[in-house]
Amino acid sequence: MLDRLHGLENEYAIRFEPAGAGVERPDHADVFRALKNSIAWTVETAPGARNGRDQFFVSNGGSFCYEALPSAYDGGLIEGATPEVRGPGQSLLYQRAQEELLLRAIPRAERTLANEGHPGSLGLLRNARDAEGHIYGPQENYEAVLARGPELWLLRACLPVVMVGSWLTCAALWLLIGVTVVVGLPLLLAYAIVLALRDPGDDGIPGLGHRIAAGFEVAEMAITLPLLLPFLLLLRGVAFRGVRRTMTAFLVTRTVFAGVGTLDGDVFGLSEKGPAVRRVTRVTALPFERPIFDFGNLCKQLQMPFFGRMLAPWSLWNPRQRLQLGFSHANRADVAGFLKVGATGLLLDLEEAGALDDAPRLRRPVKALHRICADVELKRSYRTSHGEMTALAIQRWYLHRARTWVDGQAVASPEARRVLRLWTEVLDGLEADPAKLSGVLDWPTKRALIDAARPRVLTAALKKIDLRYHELGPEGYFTQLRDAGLARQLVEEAAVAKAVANAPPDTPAHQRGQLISALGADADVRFGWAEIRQGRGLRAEVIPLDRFRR
Amino acid sequence: MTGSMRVHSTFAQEIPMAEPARQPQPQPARKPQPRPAEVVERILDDAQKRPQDYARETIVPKGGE
Repeated sequence: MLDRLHGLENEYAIRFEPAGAGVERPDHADVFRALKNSIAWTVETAPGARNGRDQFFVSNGGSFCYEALPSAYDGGLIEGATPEVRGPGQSLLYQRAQEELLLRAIPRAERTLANEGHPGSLGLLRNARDAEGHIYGPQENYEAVLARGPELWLLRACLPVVMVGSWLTCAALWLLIGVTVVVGLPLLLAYAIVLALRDPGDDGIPGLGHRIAAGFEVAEMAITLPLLLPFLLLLRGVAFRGVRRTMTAFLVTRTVFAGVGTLDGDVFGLSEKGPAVRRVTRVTALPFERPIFDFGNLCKQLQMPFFGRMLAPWSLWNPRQRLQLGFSHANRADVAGFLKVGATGLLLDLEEAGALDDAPRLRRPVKALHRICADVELKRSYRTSHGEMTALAIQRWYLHRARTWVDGQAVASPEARRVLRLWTEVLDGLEADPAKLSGVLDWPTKRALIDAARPRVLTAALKKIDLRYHELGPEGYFTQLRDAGLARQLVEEAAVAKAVANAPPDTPAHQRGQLISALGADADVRFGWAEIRQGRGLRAEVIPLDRFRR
Repeated sequence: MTGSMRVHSTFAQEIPMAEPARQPQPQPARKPQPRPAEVVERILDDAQKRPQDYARETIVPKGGE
């Protein structure tokens, strides 16, 4: 119970306030490199396998990388992945440890940037929506049953065909790279000459590099789409089907306690990402789909031959895979973060035990989600297979079923009991008066601050509250509330400090952490989530991280 | 000012810890905590300082994912 591996991926927006009027902002890629170097002064680090994104792992088993679109490379985000953990308590602890590590790295990174000609104040925001409405932010990953019975065998039967297609795609991509090098090198040489000859006051040729990168991106998509589309349709038919059938209504309506709140113009809504969700399940590889259930991670396994791992697609033979939830919330409040992961993990246990087969199903889940996000009074009802139900009534159904199931187990984990207790408490609170959950859940806390400011400030200041609520460190508004004892804490600061450098026991992250200490300084070692490779090419030694898998 | 009063009363009391056994250990040299109303006032004051600049400084061009 609550024993499955899971992990959180977060994206941190970068804030840089120049120290003076003439100071130029650094590229976000430079900020990332400054933070990376600073983190290496705090904990042991090791290079990750994803070279293109400058990935690195830290001694607690977690990872950081630079996340950017090729067409906007200088304006990317810091992506932080927690180590694999078991249970919501560990999840919350390592989420906080990730924030603490970044926070400790900021002062040295600021000095590095100042030495490079960019003196100023650096900050990081763990949120999901910026002032212009761009959407990014967190994802959740849970180890879960991919498929059962005939569906599993159908998936396995299609694997050889898919793998052949994967290798053909791989060949096409290498061909594309070859053509790019042959055609692109003279272009780049000419560009370098123009840059060398240009007037120092001139801005050069804006966007040429970006256009080349964007062109490559489009070409890559055009080549991989024919392969990925049938595979995505297959996944849509069979992958995590039970979870999607029985838990979509839960994931949509958990917004009432997990949503962090956001301000769109002058209107307050419950979720940053929710209004941008377009599908329940991903059906194409296009980035703007923003599904609740994302199969991008399974597609990446298919594409692995491109990165030199010819056997990676065979790992799809395993009936347990990583379930990726694209619709998540950038929680700062401990209770909301704990409950988001705890209730979801517990319901996955129920689903695998067949205890959710009669769960309510929303008639139009995406439309319902958009309406829930706009319903701050939590009064609306939605059409389900059980009739009209409010979001709170749907949550009550799942809570009741989870409690019944936990009570029926011979041994119930204390953590499951804690999830049930908090879940009951917040649903009772939301039903009575959401405002009383300020300091417990994110959206009532943020809304209270915004309502307090509304009578006397401009809309821009309200938006600043929406954004700076998520900033790490003493200047962040949620942190100020927490430090003043106005937000409930579920983890001890001493435990967070320990988790910054130490991996969670009984997980692949523990084995990875040990190997980072032993091999991290070896320039020929590349760390990954599933394995570690020592050496290069076909003669590389592969160490699987499976000692603590079950 | 009614909104302000409401939030001050919302934050007027320290939130009781649900899990007493997990309360942080008291730090010996810790600064005295400011009153809840002072914290909220400080946040509202800060929110009015260069809010457009803050929004601009935290833009993520073309988003992530």
